Amino acid sequence: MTRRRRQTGRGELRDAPPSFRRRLLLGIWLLVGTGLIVRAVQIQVVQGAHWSAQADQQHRTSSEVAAGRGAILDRTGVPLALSHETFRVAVAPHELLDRREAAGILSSALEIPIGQARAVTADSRRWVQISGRYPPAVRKALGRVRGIYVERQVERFYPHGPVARGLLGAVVDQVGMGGIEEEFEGRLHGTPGAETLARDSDGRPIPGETWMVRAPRTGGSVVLTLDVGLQEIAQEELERAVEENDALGGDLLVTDPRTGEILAMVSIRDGITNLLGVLNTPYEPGSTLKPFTVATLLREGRADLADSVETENGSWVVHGRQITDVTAVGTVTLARALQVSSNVGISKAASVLTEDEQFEGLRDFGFGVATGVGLPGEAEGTLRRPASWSLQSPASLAIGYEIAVTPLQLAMAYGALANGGMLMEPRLVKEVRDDDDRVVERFEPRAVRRVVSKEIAREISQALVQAVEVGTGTRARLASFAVAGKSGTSRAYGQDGYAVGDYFASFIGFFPADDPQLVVYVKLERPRGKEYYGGATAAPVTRATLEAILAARNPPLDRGALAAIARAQRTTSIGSLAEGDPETRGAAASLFASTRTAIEPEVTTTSIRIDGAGEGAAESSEQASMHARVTVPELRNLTPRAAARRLHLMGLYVEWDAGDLVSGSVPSAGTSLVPGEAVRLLTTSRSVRRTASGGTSSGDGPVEGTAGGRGG
Amino acid sequence: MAWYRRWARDPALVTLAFALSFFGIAMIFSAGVLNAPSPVTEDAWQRQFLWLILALAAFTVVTRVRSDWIEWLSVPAYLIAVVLLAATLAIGTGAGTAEGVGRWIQVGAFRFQPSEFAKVAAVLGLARLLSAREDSPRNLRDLLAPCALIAVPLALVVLQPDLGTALAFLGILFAALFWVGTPALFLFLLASPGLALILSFDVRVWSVYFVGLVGMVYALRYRLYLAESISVVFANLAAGTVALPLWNSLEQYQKNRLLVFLKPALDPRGAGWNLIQSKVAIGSGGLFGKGFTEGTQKRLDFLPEQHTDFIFGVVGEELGFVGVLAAIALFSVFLLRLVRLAERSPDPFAGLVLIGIFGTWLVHIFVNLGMTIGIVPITGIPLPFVSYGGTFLLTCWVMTGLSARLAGED
Repeated sequence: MTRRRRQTGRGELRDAPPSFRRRLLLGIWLLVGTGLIVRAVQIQVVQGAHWSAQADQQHRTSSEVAAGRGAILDRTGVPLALSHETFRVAVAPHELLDRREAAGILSSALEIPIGQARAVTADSRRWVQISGRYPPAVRKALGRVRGIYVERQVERFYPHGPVARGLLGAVVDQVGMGGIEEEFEGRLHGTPGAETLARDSDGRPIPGETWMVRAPRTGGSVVLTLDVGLQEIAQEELERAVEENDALGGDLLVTDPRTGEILAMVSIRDGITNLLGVLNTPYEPGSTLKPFTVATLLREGRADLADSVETENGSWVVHGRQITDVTAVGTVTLARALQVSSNVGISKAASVLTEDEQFEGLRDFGFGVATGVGLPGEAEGTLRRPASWSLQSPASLAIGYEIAVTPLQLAMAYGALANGGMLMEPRLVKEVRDDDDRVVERFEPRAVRRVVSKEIAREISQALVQAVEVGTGTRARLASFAVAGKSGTSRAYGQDGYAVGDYFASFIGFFPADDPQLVVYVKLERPRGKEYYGGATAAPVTRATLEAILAARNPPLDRGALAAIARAQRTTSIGSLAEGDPETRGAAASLFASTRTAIEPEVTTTSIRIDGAGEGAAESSEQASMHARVTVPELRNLTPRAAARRLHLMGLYVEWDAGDLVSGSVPSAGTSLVPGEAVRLLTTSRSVRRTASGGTSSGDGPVEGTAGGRGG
Repeated sequence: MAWYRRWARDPALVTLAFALSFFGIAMIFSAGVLNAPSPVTEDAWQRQFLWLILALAAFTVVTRVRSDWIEWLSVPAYLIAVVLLAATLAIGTGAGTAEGVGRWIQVGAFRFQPSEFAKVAAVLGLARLLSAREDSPRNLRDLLAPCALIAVPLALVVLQPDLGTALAFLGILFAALFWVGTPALFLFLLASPGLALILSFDVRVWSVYFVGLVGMVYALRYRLYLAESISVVFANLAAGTVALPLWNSLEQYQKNRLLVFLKPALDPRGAGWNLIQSKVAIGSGGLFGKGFTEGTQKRLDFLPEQHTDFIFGVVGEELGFVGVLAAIALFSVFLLRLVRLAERSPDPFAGLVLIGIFGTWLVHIFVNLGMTIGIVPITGIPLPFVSYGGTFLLTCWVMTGLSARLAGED
């Protein structure tokens, strides 16, 4: 073959030395290779930064980190609404490196059966969501396992369940709806943070490759004037009253007349407890409006409480309208007419007022004007101007008809009588704090106007004390303190006018009458029991509420002032019983002893000390020998609050943890104790963290309340 | 190391082939390290390793065959290749990342790509044909036979359709024709219809080109036969005219590949995806890369076909420009060695086989690297020794075996 090539003549190129062809071929490759290298230099070296940025932009996405929502606290810092982090867990089975190992990790981190974990990791689907929500510890345990995805969620949590829920509102899609949640949305919702995370080409996040760019800022907290203890008492008492009286619903409002603070507010209607009827449902108040008619008469100088009024034998026709009394009382003083709630007496007395005087009197007490409490949906009620009145209107208005008021307006107006004539603006929020717990906004008590003079307010208060002592409100009477109050029974206006047998039964009292600290408003809607009069149905609720408040562990009461009043009462009525006790302590002791006596008359001791007085334990043993012994009752299956109340009433100190039901006590039922000793309640919790049970379907189980936000 | 020298016959070439093969297995391993591992890519490196063992066995066999047998076998090999390619059109199946196109023939559990075997057969057949000639081609008619010999398998491959492998056949043809001393002018005229085809995307450009071509043919009127001149002019005219119908006959994905090459943003998540992602991966590798197995674009599944056609994207991303340079250098030394062996080869057949192999690998390397860095349109063509693929690795080693065998004859 070699020979053949050498022998034959070839073309130009073939005749050239082979090295020339080789060089030419290599030259081609050199050209090609150089082209490739130049291009590589261009994109890797020259444009390297650009393509790196491009790469980052592709697989890094920024996402928002939800901020925790600020807490809503009661006046003492007890949290009513909290935000906490929960975590949802999902598995991408085909991304798992070791399915058995992953199942083990899942099972131990989520506390689910190993069988279920195996089923999840062996699933043929791309994405399996594990039901249930889990505490933050889960993220630590699972966050870096390939194929397991942990998603953070910020969740609103109401530690006291249904208590004050109507007031608090709700959070829907991270936005407050209704109540405080809506009103203070801007303060509560916080500033979301931002994080960068790596995603693959399918958009799935890469575990462990997350960078926090900006930390989320938890929202500020809102401190309410509400007292959660009072709120619970109010809710319990109202629920019980609604049930006992077979009523359609009711409202209960506790305010501090000195500051206008709302301490508790509950509205129930048709079994629904999260309503705001207290401020959004006006009604005709009836007799509970009479004190303001009388106050206007006194203010205008048109009458005196000692003036006589002839009640026309219980029936009086004015401009074609017949006004009747339940029982004819004959000729009485104006004060007496108020106490026995004589319709004829009050409307006759009011007839001396001009229409403008009567209108201005009611308007000055705040009727027909929104109170400015600052919650969504407040109603202003109806108080027509004299121009649109009929001839009957003055008489109707005098006894609380042809006017619609909200319970809150009424409570504020009674507050003005109680505090010496000053109408206060209702206050529901004490202050707003930022996420570092610094107060950023404080809401001070605000007086709207002086409505009547101190003297007139005092006169009316005293008349109202008599209403409780001997008038229509006797069932609101406390053994220890004078309570002032007025009952009302107004006919409920339905779709077909005033319906027979449909009434609003109400009672508004303030306590203690001499230096009022609380206004308690109670209204029952359409009670169907044996009795329907406010004095018979609502007044006992006021008393029970006040008793419960006095027995509560730490009620928002000025103990010192109460003790001073009690001491004054004792020196006049009981004489020198205080002996060597420190003044206030002895007074407080007798106060609570009396409270207890009123409920359990068969126990007749006069100086039992109750924990709520806030004294140390040292004295209790010192006094123990003096006290009657009490027996710890069976408390099983009561709510802790109910159990605590029972024990409080026996003069025992109570400790308990958060829990839903009492499972026992230490010392146990049947043990004989001396009042002043402590009982510890053992409780069980219904909302124990439930682990995923629904297999692989997605669903929301409850989760342990690990508070992510700030607690109080 | 005497046994190695004896076994390899050309230790330099074989050592380079080993280096490239192990480099490939390492990169295939890295290509399987993903954030969301897939069973297809995760174990690919192990399968590639098994194929390498098989390839070495084939190498051993090929290097033991007498070279005149090889020359004798080239004719039946060529015929068998053509038959197999025709059969592929009828009974071919898809596989792996090329699921949609029938490029494989399945025999029981064994599956191979006839087009790979056809490349070897075409190299041998062409070498046999050209080495039989007494002198180098003196006119265009002399080029008819070699062109026809290549045109048959090329047409069958185009029909699969597999444009990338078709380019490899052209590489064989031109390299071999050049080696036997065909004047560069003839090679240009031979390529001119193809050039006309490409330039016809714009009528004005094509017109200028065509006028220039006619002028050139006229200037060369004493060196070309009239029939040849007319043929060249008509071929160019035809190429310019059929361009549009030919374009319309292309599959949509083929059109898109060409279109997005000119403008990737046309279809960034479709046909432009591969091109963009490959550039992003290699570009973001920078000078020194992100580290072996650490490439984020690959890990996060942005880089497509990262263990087969786009394995160079992994090289660029993880080893950086330094790695790219090293890979190109390795290939350069390999090609240089082939040409040197061809030059020193004792007879024309051996030299032509070596040059044919050089031609096909030159096309493979240039087109594959070129498409990953965006200077060549995307054509599904693997990188010799490095890309994952059993038949392809086997072919590479068979070609290495032929080279070592025929070169080592002296």
